[in-house]
Amino acid sequence: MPEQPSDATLIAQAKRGSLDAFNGLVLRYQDYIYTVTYRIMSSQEAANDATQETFLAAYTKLAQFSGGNFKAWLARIATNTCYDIIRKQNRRPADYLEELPGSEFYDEPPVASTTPAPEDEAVRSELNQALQSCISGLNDDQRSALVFIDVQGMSYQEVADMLQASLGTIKSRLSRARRAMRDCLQGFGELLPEEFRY
Amino acid sequence: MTDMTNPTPPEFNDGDYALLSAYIDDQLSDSERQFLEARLVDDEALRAELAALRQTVAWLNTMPQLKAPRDFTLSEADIAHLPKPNIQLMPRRNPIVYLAGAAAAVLIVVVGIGVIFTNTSRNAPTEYAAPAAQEIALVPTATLQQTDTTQNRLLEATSVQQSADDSGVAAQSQGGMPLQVPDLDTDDEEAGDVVPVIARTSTTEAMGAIASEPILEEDDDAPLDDTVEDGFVGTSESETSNVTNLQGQASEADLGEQALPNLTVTTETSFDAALPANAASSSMMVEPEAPEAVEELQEEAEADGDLNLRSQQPFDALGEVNFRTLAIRIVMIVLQIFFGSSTETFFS
Repeated sequence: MPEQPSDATLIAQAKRGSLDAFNGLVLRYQDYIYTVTYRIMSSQEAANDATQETFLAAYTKLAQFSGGNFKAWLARIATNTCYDIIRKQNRRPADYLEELPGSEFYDEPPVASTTPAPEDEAVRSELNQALQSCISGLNDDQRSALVFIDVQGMSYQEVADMLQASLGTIKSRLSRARRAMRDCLQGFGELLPEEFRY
Repeated sequence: MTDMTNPTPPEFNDGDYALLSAYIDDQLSDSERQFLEARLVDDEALRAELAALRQTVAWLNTMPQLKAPRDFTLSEADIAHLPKPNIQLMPRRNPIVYLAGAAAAVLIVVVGIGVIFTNTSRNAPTEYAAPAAQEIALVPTATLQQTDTTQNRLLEATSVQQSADDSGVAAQSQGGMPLQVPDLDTDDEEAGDVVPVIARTSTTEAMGAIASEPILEEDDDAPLDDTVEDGFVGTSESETSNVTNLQGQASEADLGEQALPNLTVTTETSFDAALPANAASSSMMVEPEAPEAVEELQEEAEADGDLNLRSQQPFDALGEVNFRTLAIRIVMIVLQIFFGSSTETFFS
């Protein structure tokens, strides 16, 4: 199997105008960006829009990328794109309202990239829906800190750099987000499977 | 939406949760960790909160990576209205502009080098002439300890014909800058001592005085009249073509015990000779009346390695012409390369 070109190689080629090289980057990170946007937006349609907008913005701003962690650079664009969409959504609250849990237009949650065992899938799905529901209840700052650190596994410092906030600010946001998540999940009570109750 | 019932026990504040959250990720300092662990030992409710937070984080950690529902690759149509991402640090320019810029850069460098070397060669007499003159003074002194050497004859050849009758005037003059010629008395124990040119002794026993540019430097304030009175008559028509004619007509008084050969040493000293050497462009050349004889002596001296009369040649003029010519030629070549043969016509 041929070795995949590095991010730096694809970025350099894309900067020289190669759309194929840029699409190589898209294929490499589209699942990650879609996951981030979905965790922040809690809507498949909104995540679709945000993901598309993220890659278009990345293509436009690629000349400004001066090296470093391309994945984090993309995530930052995705976060800003999500907040832009959320601000617009707040001005037009009906845009994605139909997809919220409990709505008659609510879709099934998106498919995970790694499929769990069938017997666990249903149980895990309930928990994931509860978690996603609780995440959507966080404010923007807490949500981004929680999604990138606890869901995507980034370090405090990476998130601080990406969100251009101090380390203390990130710690504080994460602490509040976890507390809110704990309170939220506790509220689900018996709706969660027994093994996922506090 | 999220059900926010059953809120956090009120006994814990934001600071407690900050400690617990940081403790989970091992982000506490040693003192903070010890403080919290001490509390956890005694506080069961706090331990329960820590466990609940750990469980929450664990669940969040297991949230799966989602699969993008579709391909988000961009098409040509998607980016048709977008600017190209390629970086151009400098806007593209006409190649002629680059060539002209390169030619200008080369021109500046070449002219700069030419100016530097020209200035260096102009200042060269100050550095070279004194040692050269000193060489004249020193070598005979040393070599006169030997008998009947070529250097003796050369020294004699460089004696100055002075128009003034008073032979002592040259030695004592202030404007004429006499060159101290060592005592030729080989019997004198001090005769072999080095007599530096700049040590302008006032002795009138000097065999002769040579008016030369380096010595003129020694007395910048010498009045012009003194120079004339000393017999260093400014005969040059042009400041840039000063020639020293050493006519072998030195007075008998200057010749001392030994008669000098009848060589011609002509001195042409610019009236600027009274000015500092750097300001005056006067120079000295030796034009013997019998060139063959002098050349022969020169060759002998050079062969001996003791005296190099060529060192008295006008370094400034020589270097200046060479470097200027070199610089001009290089500039012409460069310009011809970039602008064609019309450059030569322009310069001509």
